Amino acid sequence: MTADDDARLIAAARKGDARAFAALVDAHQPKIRGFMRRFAGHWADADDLAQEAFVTAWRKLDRFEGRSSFASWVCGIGYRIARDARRGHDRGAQRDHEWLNEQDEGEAGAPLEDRIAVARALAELANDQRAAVALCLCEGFSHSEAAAILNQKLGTVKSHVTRGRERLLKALETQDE
Amino acid sequence: MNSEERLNRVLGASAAPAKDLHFTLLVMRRAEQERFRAALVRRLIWGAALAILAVAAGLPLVGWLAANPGATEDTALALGALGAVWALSGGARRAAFGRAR
Repeated sequence: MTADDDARLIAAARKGDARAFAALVDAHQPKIRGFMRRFAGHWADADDLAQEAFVTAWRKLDRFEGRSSFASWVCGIGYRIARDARRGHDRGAQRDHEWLNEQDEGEAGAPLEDRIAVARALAELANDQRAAVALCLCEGFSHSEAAAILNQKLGTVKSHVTRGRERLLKALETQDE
Repeated sequence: MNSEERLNRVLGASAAPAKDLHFTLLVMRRAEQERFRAALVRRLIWGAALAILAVAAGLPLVGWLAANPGATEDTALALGALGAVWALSGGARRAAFGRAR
């Protein structure tokens, strides 16, 4: 979906067109859900958080200024919701990687052991670092987009991504030993 | 396959399905519930405000009628006229609430 399509649908959704908003949800849900799943770590909770992010986005659609993409904006909303929710819950590493066993290995395209090792390492990263890694390395956002989503400096995000990647690599190498 | 390639493979794998109509439906249902709740709260606030206004206007009227028993018939007629205007404006109110919903 192009930026023009997004703009047209956003304008219609602002006027109360539910179908237009549903089309936006349909188009952007893989990125938002992917990010929430990597960041929040638990499939069911992550989808719930992604739903909440979209519902909040619709309620606050008038405040969307179009300075970033719609997906970035909703990711930012989701990040803040998930971060606040995470503060209230102590999610254990066990729970974090349980969902990996529910995945279809063929669909994910990587061995289960590698996915578990990476998910464990991701869960151990600090919130900001994990969010930066999930956005830039998993969901394909640029560093500057991630900086806008996370409300952080560009240099900080770059550093989070580099260091986070190093830790994930280390986790894979440790697993081999 | 070295660690770099393995990591790229894990990170590159999609964590969410490309399209999931069920998810979209859940979002829209949740949004609809939230809008319904907001409309209900607006209605309750509107109702409470009207009740307060009615009491605020009714109490002095009762006092005045107690002091002037002869004006009861005129007051009843005036209240009836107000009620008719109120009933006629019902369509406008419904339209306003319809937009809010």
